[in-house]
Amino acid sequence: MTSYIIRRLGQIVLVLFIVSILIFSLLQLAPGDPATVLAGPGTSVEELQAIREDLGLNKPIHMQYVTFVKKLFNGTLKSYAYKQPVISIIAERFPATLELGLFAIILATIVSIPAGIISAIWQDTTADYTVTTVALLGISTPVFWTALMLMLLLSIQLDALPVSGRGATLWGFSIFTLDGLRHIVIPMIALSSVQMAMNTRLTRSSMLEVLREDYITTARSKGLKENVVILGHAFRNAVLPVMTNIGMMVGTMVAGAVLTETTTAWPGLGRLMISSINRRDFAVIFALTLLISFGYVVSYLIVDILYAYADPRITYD
Amino acid sequence: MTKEKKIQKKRKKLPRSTFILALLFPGLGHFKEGRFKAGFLLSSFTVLQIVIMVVGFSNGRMTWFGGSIDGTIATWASVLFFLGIWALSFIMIRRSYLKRESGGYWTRAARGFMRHKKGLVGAFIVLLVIWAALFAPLVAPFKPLKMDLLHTVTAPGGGGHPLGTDNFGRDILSRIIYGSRVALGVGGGATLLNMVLGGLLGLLGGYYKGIIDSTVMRFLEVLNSIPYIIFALLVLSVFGAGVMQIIIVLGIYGLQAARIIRSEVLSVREEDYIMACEATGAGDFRKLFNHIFPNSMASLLVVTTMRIGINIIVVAGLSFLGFGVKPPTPSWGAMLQSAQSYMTVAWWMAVFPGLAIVLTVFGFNLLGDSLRDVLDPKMSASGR
Repeated sequence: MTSYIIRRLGQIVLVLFIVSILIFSLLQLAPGDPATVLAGPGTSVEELQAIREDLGLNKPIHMQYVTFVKKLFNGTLKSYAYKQPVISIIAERFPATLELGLFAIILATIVSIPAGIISAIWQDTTADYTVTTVALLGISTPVFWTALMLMLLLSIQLDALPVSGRGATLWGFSIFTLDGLRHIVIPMIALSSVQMAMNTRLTRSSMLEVLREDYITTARSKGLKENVVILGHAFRNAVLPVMTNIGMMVGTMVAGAVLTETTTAWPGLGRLMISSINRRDFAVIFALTLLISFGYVVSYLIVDILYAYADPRITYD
Repeated sequence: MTKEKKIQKKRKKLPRSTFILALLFPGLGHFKEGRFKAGFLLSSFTVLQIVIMVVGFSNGRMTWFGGSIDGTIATWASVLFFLGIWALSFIMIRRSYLKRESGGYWTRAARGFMRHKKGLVGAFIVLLVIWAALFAPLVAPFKPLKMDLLHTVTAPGGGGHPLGTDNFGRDILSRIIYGSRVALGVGGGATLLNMVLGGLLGLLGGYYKGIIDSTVMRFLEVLNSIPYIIFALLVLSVFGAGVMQIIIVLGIYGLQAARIIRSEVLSVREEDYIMACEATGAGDFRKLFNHIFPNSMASLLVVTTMRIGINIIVVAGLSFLGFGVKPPTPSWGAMLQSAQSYMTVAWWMAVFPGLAIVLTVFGFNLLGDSLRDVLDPKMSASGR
């Protein structure tokens, strides 16, 4: 197991290295000179030259890459737009996205698993049709439109919740204050909606597959209570694919966060990404994309490791 | 008496009345045979088209020759559409008598599909959207860019605008109808690219394996570690937003289809019938395209249908963020973006374009789900 994890970590480093080269070369192709963007209007030629020197823009391209990465890791890479170290800009916004993503995943999980189980054990009933139709609608709805509709209904028509923003925070989290709690409801529901639907469908199909197995018949014929059969025998065996999906959610949440945060003006990494792209803030784009990719691949790894713990039949070597 | 003759005797003869009804009006033959769902699909589209043509000719938007290009194209497209529906209904009726008990994989799949209520609803929605996109100039009550300056930000129904107008006084319904062209064109174009490139790479990669295969798979792994929308945003911000750019970006990202096809090919090529085929002296090309490809076609079709939905949503998302099709070209995402600034005063600007997205994607997803049920019994056993 240990050797497997080490090998996977090696692969992750390799993938991130390629991603970083890919992003760096993409940014090189972008029109516009970073030095001019960084300096702003009305800078003298000498000052521009000094900035180029500082960023290493006058060096050959592979050396530029090395300087860029070096600066990123020792924390001196500065954002072109904010003139602050990239690390601190990202760190400032990270809690907002972490909180939003975490609660969206929790919400998606606690709704989707019961819904999927109910729909599987009562297959072909009205309850099942309702759940499957709603779930199919859920995966057909763009997150930003869900956010817009919730804003329209809850904030504008009913005036029950604030339209956008994050509200008051305590220790960097908004769930600890009432104001913050009111602000997080809409983005949280919107962000979790698609994953909720996908996970419901997955739980259902996974449960249906297990419920057809012989050991379920055996369990029932032993006279076990239906609850025990469903939760103790069926669900435990159906949980693996569901768990994978929850792990994968970490990645998809980031992508969804870009749209949800932009729509609801949630001050997190997704919004930072969009504003950085609009400002051609290459340093932030580079660092952020690497961070997101890192989160993505690490969540895959964690899922694989958890797999081995959940199912003793699975071994990695 | 030969075996062939025996089968011939078992076949029922096509009743003359059904034959005439089917020739008379698409769908009538199906109604007589008790196939109401198919009959409804066929006849409703015929009726829709007749209504559109009557309206189009009476207000002069449709012309046989000359006139506006849009009008001429629409006329001849309608004629083709008619012929298509008519031929389809006729062929369906004939086939149902010719091959009642037999039929290959696809015939059986098609028959299974016609019994699938969900799939038919999905097919109806998808056809409706495609139809609206094709005949947009005739279906839309107004020109999508025409500004009705007396009725800016008008609620549904006001000034003859069924779904209201936007901040420039442009008709929302017409813009939604024209927006379907962008959604289907860009989303569909990207998906086509996914299917052709991904299918080819998966097919060749799974069959030959080797260095190219592993390179492509590693490349896909790297792509897979960057979220879809972020990859698209980055590339579009560098190369500029535009229809072609979006199609190419989504087309490349969606190469993930190659993985599914590849794994399918990997299992198919180990089957006995491929070995048998090899024993008859078939070459690589024949094995690949006559045997392996048709056998992995089903999963390619399912993957593609589901992918269109995803691509339509991503295209809308990109337009919503301002990286999509440039305004004033009507697109659903961009309509929602401008709606956001008018949320407090004009709910209709935000509601209807979104409903159009949901309906379209829902249709494709229903279709994809049902295709999976029908084409892949292995997968459908694990739940519909």
